[in-house]
Amino acid sequence: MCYNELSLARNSGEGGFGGCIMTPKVTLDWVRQVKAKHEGMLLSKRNVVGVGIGFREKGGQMTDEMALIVSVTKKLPAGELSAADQIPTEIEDVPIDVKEVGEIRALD
Amino acid sequence: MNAALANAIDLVRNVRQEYVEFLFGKPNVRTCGVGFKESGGVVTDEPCVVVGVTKKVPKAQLTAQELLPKVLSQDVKTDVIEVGLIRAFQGPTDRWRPAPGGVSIGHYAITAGTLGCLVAKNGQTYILSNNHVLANSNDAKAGDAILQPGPHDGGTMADQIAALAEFVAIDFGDAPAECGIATAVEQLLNAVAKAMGSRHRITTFQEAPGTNLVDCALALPTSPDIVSKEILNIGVPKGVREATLGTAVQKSGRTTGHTTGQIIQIDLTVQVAYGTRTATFTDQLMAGAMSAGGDSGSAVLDDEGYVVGLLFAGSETTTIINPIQAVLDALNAQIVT
Repeated sequence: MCYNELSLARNSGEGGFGGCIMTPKVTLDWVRQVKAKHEGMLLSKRNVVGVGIGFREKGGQMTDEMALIVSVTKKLPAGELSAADQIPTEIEDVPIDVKEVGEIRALD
Repeated sequence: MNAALANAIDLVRNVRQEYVEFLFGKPNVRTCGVGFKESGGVVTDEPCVVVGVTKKVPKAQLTAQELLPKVLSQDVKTDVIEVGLIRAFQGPTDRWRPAPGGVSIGHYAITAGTLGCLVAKNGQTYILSNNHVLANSNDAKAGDAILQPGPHDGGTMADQIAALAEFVAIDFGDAPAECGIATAVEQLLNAVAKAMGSRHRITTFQEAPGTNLVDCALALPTSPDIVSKEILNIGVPKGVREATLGTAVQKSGRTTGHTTGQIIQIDLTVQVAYGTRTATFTDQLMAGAMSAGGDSGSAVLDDEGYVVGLLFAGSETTTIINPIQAVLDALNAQIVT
């Protein structure tokens, strides 16, 4: 889906466009709305300790694509997680990156 | 080393010995040694007497007597280099007077954290750091002794540098909601809902329970000149800026010293462990690995020296930062520049 077509697509409820040559992109404002709506659900999943907004990583490289970044204490194989604890790869056009961070604690 | 060079060095040594007292009598002179003469930025193989001054001053501003001679006896030359103020190396866990940002500090009952920077409020200057550094994670009262260095670094009551002035309480989500009006409204609305046969119930929140924006506190120095507005290895803050994705940042902290990183997440909601308790923070900044236990309370600045946040938490791979404006708003204070 193209950046400039996003709002139209959202309003019309359409899923995507064929033949689009632009890199899929979502705006910060949209990522913020999606985050506000879904972070409670994401934070309730096993091992999740944070939900933020960042640039997506692909193959160890930072892209310029906005994403929701879900921080987990430990990444687990999908097979060890119940269906309810699986983290989706995308919500409402916003990609989700899962990052293993260990325990986040006050640094005294 | 060939014999000619060895002889030349011996000669310079003797001449240095002869002139050392004379040279230290000149203003700004801090060191006097033997080294190779530098000429046009290139080190030559000619030994000479190297004089270190705190600051080079234009000739015109010096009297003939104050000028350092270019040549001493027996054609031995001098080199003048700027060395700044030379002092014994002090680490961030040492006792500092005056104490700059970036050094060990702590409430008498904690381990140790970091002195962030100075802030001004109502015409007075305060030390800014975390609640969990200066106020023992809510378990403290105004006037409690703040030690520099912190207790873990050997600080005792003899090292008191400040008194706890105020802190923003951390909400661990375990306190019962206490808002009489909201509860009364809730009961009234639920009575109405019941009377109308509705299955819905109204629940009131003053804010989402157990969420926080900042982990911060202020301490009043025991005297104004016991602290310095400088931050170790960074300098005096230039002001305040808002960080965003990709902002290059730096901090000076008690444990890992001066480190740099980048903001990799914004709008972060995060659950932070405080010992056995957990507190949720919203609207935080995340940087990569640039801190460790003891760095809590460090001021986080951008690469141009503007304060963007207050470091308070982290993991092996992350550093969690309160945006500075939220801190200053909560405390009604300004960064001292």
